[in-house]
Amino acid sequence: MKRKSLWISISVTLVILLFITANTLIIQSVIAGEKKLETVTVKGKTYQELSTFEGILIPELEESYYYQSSRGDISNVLVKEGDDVSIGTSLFEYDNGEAVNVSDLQAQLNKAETAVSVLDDQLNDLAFQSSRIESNEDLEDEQKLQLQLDVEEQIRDTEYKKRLAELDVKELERQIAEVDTEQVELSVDSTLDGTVEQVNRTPEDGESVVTLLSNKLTVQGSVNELNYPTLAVDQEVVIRSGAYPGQPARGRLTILEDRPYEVDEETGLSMYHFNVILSEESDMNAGTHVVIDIPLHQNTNAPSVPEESIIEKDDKSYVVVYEKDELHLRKVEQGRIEGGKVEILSGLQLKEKVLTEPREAFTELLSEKEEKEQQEQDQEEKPDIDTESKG
Amino acid sequence: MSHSMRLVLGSFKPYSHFRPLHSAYRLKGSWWRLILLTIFSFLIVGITSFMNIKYAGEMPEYTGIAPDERMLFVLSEVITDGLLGVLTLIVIVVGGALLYWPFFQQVGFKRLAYIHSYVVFILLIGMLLQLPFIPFLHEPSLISPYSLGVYVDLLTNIPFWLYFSYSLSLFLAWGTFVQYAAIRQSTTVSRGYALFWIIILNVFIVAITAYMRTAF
Repeated sequence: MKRKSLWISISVTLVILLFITANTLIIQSVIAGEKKLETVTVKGKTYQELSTFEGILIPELEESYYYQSSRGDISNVLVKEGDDVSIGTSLFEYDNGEAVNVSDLQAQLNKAETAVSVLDDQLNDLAFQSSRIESNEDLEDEQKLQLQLDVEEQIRDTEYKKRLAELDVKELERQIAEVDTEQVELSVDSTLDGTVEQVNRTPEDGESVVTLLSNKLTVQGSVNELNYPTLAVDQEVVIRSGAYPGQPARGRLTILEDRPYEVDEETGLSMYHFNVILSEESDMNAGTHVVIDIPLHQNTNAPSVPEESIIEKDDKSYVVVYEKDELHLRKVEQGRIEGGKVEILSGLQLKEKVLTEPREAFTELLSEKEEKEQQEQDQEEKPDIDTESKG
Repeated sequence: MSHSMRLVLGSFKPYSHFRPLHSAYRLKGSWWRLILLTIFSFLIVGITSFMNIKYAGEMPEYTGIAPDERMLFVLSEVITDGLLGVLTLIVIVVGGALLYWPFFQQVGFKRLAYIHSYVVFILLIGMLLQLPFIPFLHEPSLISPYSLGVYVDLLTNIPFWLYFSYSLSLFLAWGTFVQYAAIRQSTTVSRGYALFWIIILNVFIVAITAYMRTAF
């Protein structure tokens, strides 16, 4: 019996030893790993508070082209409502009572130019004749002289005619140019890319003939007098629309009207218009109702750390900074908290490393050390003050 | 008749040691042994904490502290953990007895606390035998070669299951055996009833402890 229990004891001991040995080997070869400090790099993050306003997309410009009776009657309106126009497109024309036929002038010009050309040829022929007379040895000197004089007279006569013809050409060219200019002035052209909104074919003096809306869109928002001071021209905004979910557009506040357009009946507050110009292409159409998010108190690229990295003690906030293989407790000023990240207003720079989740005991130690140093510093300063007061 | 607390004897020969417990009207030598256990708990847990920091890198911050401040840091940790060890001892003895009481009323609260003192002693032996492995393996005391956690660690990284399984050690089995022997000697409950509830309650305690260590 004793032998049996001895064997059992030996067997159990061996099994236990084998179990421990196997476990040790597993831990050593598989489980064991290096323990590292868990740090997080301070990253930049934009913190802001969004102020939301309602608005509507409208064409950026509305241009009206007016009738001026002093320029004559309107002969032709060249566009109709809904037409797309671009810069330079003729919208309507004035009637010219003393219209000059440009084609007649052009025909006369051609005729004059032909005359100049013919006279030029004649001058060449006469010059050739003159050289032949000079080189003809059969003729007497006296005959030669007589013939030369005749030719020279013809040349002078022809040159005179040519000059007159050239003057005609210039005059006709001037007249044609003048007619062209007058024609341009008679037509009224579009100064923007857009769509014809309204056409009035029988306007009175000073009334608009054509009204155009530009293709480029702007957002018109409204703000009450309480929120008015939070807005400023050139503020960056984000435009969102329920009709275009997930497609926000960026924009910039361009106009902030200083006169109210109405007083809200319910609240009794004055309402002001403001305009936002879109900074990027958007699929949104005119008439789309939008929400305008305007960031306030924006702090871009602010140092940001996880909430767990912050130690709060006696109304003060600290982080444990890891630099040059050493840890230091550093006092920081906390700002806003967004998505588990804390805005650091002072005490920390971007790219510094802080402990992800400092242990309580460890931070206690560091804060005690800091307090001790502070006390020592105070004590050092105190004798100086005493000495000064005695002095 | 009295029963004298002999931790070593009771741990190694539980059946014979606890046989007279049922009829004993007085439990002798408990207080000074409990005080001794408290001191041992403080020391062993404190030393374990020190070795965890020094050799197992359980607190990586340790390396980031200036050398002259390390002693203060370690001391504060060791003392805190040592006190926690004492608190754990009290919880095991008193809390364990309270938990077992409804199931083993025949034994009585005082005797159950008395039995749980032996369990604390066995667990302290486990911690003591774990100490050499800390510098050897460079792993904290949690990673124990005496436990089943090693195999669970290969399968999962979920903290709860790691804490739970690493608590299922040879020393817990030893303590359970001593509990079983002591309770069996002190009551007339059936073997199956005693074994079932002792195992269930121990697993429950281990699970609760693992949950608390994970949650906080």
